[in-house]
Amino acid sequence: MNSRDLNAIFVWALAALLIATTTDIAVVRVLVSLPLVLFLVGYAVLRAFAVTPQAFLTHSVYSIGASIAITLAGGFLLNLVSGLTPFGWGCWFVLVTGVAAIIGRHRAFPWQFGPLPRVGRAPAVMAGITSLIVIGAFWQAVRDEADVRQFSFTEFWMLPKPYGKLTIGIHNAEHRQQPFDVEVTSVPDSPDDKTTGRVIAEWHGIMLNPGDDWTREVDFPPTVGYSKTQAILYLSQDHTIYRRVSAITDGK
Amino acid sequence: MLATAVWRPVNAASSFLSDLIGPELHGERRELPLAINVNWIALLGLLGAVAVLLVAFADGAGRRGDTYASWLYYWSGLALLLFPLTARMTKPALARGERVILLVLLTEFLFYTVVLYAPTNFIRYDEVLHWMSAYDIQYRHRLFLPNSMLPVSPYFPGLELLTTAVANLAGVSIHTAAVLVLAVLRAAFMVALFLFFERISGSSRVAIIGCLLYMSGSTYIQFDAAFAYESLAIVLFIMILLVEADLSETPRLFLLFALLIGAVAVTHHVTAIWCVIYLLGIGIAHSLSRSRRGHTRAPILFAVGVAVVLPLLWFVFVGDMLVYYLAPTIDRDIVGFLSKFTGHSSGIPDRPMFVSDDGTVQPLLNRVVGVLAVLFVAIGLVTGFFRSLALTVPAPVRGWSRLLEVLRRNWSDSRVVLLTLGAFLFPVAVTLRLSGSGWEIGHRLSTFAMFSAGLVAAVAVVHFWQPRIGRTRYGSALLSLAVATVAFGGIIIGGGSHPVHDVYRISGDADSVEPMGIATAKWTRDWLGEGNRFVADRVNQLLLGIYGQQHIITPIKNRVYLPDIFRPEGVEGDPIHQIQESKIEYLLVDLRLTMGKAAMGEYYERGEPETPPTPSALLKFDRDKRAACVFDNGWMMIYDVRHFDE
Repeated sequence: MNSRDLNAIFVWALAALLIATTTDIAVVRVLVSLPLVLFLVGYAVLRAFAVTPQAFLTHSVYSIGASIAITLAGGFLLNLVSGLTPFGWGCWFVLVTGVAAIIGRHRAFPWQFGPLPRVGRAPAVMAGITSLIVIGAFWQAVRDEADVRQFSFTEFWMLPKPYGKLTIGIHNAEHRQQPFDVEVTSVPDSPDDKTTGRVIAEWHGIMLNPGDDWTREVDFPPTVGYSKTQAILYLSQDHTIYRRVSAITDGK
Repeated sequence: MLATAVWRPVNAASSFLSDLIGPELHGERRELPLAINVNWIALLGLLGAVAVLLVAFADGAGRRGDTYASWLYYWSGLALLLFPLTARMTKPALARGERVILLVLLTEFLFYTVVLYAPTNFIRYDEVLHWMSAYDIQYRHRLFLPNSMLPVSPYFPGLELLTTAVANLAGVSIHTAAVLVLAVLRAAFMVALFLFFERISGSSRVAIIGCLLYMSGSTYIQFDAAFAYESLAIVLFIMILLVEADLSETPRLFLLFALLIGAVAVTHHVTAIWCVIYLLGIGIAHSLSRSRRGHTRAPILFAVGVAVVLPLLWFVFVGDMLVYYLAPTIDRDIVGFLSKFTGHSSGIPDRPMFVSDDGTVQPLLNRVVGVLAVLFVAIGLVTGFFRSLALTVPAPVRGWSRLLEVLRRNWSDSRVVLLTLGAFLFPVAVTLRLSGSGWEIGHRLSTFAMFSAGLVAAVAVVHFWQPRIGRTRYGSALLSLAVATVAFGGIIIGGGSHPVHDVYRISGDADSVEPMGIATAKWTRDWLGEGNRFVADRVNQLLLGIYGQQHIITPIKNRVYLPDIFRPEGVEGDPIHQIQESKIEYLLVDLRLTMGKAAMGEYYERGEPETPPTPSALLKFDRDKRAACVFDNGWMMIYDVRHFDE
């Protein structure tokens, strides 16, 4: 083996570029890209420049370090050309591994590996069970994260929009179906002001299941200057005030 | 006769003391080649898997509020993980390859327990800050975009660049890419540390024990496993140390050395400074050494030059940002700590051991193990200090004469001398951690102090304790238990009072990140748009910053004091002034803060009153016609305060 390992890494980088730009299969993309970014590119550069310690384990660690540094260098260069994209990254690794393959084409492979230790049936079975348990632990953690919700809530909002409109919305994040009433009124400028405080809009018996949304747009009446509008969310069954929001509108 | 009666016990005592702390190396230096035992590796892997499953159960029980069950599962899981693996790894006669494989197994299983805490997203405070920077790189495809909550982060984008490179090519989320990257980095760090310790001590036994003892550092289990810049920087740091150790013999490594220095310079400021300190120390020690003059000086001088110039160039580029970030921490922590000795109060109370800011006390067993861990390391340092120095003086010199040779500057390896002297940082770090004002620096210092402490204590184990008490099966088990206790104690100290998931805690960082807060933050992005100038409490700032993509106003770059906005009962005065001064557009109010003490000691900012804000203070904007409550979910309200300017 002369420099076939460098040529193989270059082909690997080409494959990573192709896969990254043509497919969405995450498992394949991870299996191809992770070793490239964190090991192979550094390995290739160190091999090309004959930075090859006697021990392959040491070289492996060095390869990870070199890969990190080369990736960071690539990031700064790609930033200059607005290339921090999958295509940009793919091109960077193809470029580096290609140059490494050219520079190191006459370098001999410096290591010799002995036979791997034999793996019997028992350790293989244990390894399989280990993998299943590890995956199971992750699944358990994800499930617990999704299932346990300490707070259930209903969101209520009102926002001013252009051209004299208000948007009102409800989102049910409780654990049960809820009926609501909504009332939109103008807020009096003072307690003695009888000209404001009118009901602008109202809805009754809005039924929302958990996860449902409800939104409406309301026209607010023209005013001089800024005025405040209020919306109250009631629980339909006993007409208790559940939520209260407001919005400041510009009369223009 | 009287003189003999007095002299004999004195002689015995001094002989005992000399043997205890003396420089004799009793452990064998030559290791026999042995075969890897695959069966043991598979069995220990299986035990480790069961252990992480217990940790997963622990997190689930904690989320459901079953504290007793969560602690039982968690600590039994960690014990099942640590003790068998440690016992096997520290055996005197074991294949080197098996030590390395088991070390990687233990490292990855410990990392996995951290992943299980938050399997689908970042929830730790520092991780969310860096997530913001990574988000900008990933989705806006540009570096150096402002991060309102950690302004210095975009200028040290190493970890974010590495992660987004994987995320881009692999087509996965930033979180998934980060977990994959960190898993590789953790293994690389431990293997590099093993190789470095082995290189300078000449023993894989010292190396493996040194690695296990390193795990007792308070930052190892969580802080350096988090998605934050030090997690990458520390890997680069140990690789730099490893490469430097071989520079004289392999000049071609200069290429790699320069690459690594450049990488650490753009990854983490403090680690880059530590690189400089270490390499300067090596340079000075080399210069002082009489036995390695001449041909080894040039490589070291060049290495020091590169290590100083590259980070310096980057720091100049970053400019004032770095000063504004580091100076307040140094001023507050170091000056505050030193004020103890000058009699002036720093205003920050000391931290009682094993008690969190919300008053939670760790169980008795945890406290005992934590104290034992520190005690064992201290014993290791006392019994290993002179032995470690003696490593640098080759045979046939023996006994205290070796130390005389060291005092005559005839040492063969300056790295061992420097690291041995660096062991004094360990008690400094422990003392700082116990003080209120110096806790942060003590916590960070332990990352680097443990390189020295781990090496020195490992030398003590291999060259004194193992030959003394480890020759029998019982003694060997006792020694393994001690080493595992040290690592276990580090997990206790580093994991804090709540290492496993808990129910919602007020201002409890990761334990305060839950679906309702995330939904509120997402609402702001969906309905208010991005980039609005927001203020909120400590945790909701994070959520608004990353899920809401809002511009968070903090004291870091603005002259704002958040308690002056939220705590006063009336709107007039400080609140209006702060809102107008900082051009705040929206406030987020979380009524849950009124229900108890802050778990991390602050609701909004460090130094504010310990009492919770009152509901009437938080809801005062309802009574002002210039403010509108645009969002209400029963617990959290968002106020539009843009009209306070008018």
